[in-house]
Amino acid sequence: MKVTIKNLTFKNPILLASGTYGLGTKFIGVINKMGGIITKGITVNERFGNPLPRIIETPSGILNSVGLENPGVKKFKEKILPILSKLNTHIFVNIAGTTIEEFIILTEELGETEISGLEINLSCPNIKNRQRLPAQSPKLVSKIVSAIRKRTNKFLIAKLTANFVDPLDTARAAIDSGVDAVSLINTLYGIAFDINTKKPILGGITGGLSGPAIKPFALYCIWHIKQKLDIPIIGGGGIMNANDVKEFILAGAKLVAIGSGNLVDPFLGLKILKELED
Amino acid sequence: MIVTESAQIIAHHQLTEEIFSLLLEAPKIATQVKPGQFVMIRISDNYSFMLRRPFAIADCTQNNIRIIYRVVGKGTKELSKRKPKENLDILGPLGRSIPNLKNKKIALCAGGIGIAPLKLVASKLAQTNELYLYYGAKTKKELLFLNELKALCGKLILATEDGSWGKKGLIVNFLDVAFFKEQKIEVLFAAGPLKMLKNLKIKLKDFPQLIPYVFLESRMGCGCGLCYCCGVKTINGEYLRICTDGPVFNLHQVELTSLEL
Repeated sequence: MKVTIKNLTFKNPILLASGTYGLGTKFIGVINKMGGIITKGITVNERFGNPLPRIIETPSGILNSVGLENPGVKKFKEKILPILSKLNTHIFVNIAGTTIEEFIILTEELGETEISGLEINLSCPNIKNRQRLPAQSPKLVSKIVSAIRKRTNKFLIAKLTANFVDPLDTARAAIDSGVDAVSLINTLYGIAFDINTKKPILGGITGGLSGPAIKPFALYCIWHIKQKLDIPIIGGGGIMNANDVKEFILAGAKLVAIGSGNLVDPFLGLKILKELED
Repeated sequence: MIVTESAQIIAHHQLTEEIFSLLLEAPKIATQVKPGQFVMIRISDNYSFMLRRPFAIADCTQNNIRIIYRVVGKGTKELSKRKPKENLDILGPLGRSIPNLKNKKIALCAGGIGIAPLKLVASKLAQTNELYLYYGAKTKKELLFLNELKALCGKLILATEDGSWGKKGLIVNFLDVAFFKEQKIEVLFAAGPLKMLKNLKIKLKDFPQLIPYVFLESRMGCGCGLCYCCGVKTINGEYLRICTDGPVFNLHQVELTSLEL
């Protein structure tokens, strides 16, 4: 089940998606069997995240607004990276800047560490006051990716969105600017209201929808890109079992990322791997 | 070590109109459980109930765990329909244990279904400590396990909101700080509605000799520290995870207002 993209060989095609497996310090036995893990988004400064509630269940899905709670890159390097460096799989750190300068700082802080690569978070819907996601503009994607590529030789993944944009355009921009793979579809925009209080339920007001509810759309996006561009895609969106993995690969994904499924069962990666091997 | 287990339902009883007792055969989890810990139960294996639900463990033997829960939403309503011999997928044991205490005078304060985690706490602490239980519920019918609790706790103060048993009113009103000081009660464990915990915080603010531990609840995603969806703000402004840093916290270290939805 080995997969090779550029200079990296993955022991199997299964990754644990950013935001669904913490910083990579828990369930080490599971992580070590996976093709790789992508950490929760790391920002320049520590972030405390959005008010509660941060998660609700929707039909076949989950709506979240965690808001990038993380210790900030300095503390991450000091306290978490030494634990991650003992893992026996590929580690990708998801970096979330709010400006190009922040992306540059994050790249400089992490570009020389022992990790396998960086996932450039261009599509987190849960940051307040952000008018647009960088991944909604091919120009902005090019600008950010080029700035990062100039400063590191690490394996780079662009985490794109399918919210209000054709991901084919942003995937092309990302690849042309030097990433090694694109990852999509991240979560879809969502909001839910409490009909009694007449207010939004999530503390962050809006959130990101994930889970099996978005799987057909995720598959469509990957297939749609693959029709025009032969590029390495990390596909994700509602993977709950081995058949889902096979569907994503049929759609054109080279690797897949388990997201919401990890919250339902932290051992799901192992279970899927076993199903694929049998 | 956290595991998932397909647990068979041994018994499932309705105790009151809204409260149920669920006995599960789960030896892999039961052998590891410590007081204070909880489990996450998958309500159904279809996608109508995507997320597991957290439940306190009320009793634990070598092979079995007992959950006492109130039907509050669609998940617990669905759970209440499960029959003996059916299996439930459970994840646990989760969260941290309460501190190890010996030869202390300890007060327990349970409001309503808050008795569930405190029952296991009482059965563990009763062996080596002196316990004073303050227990309140809406009505007499909802005061559960009184005989078992009497056997564990030296002193029992009961209250109901409608006055149908014990003192009339909220249990927190009958906690007597002067009595605590006089009896040299050093530790308190409380579980119940957020309003009760808030009243408790006000009541205990000038009593630093007492360490008040409280059980906190929140909507959870994973229950095991992966998703960062549950949390309580500390007095320093950062979030602690209820699932992995708790569910038991020192009342003075947390901002209960951060749990208001």
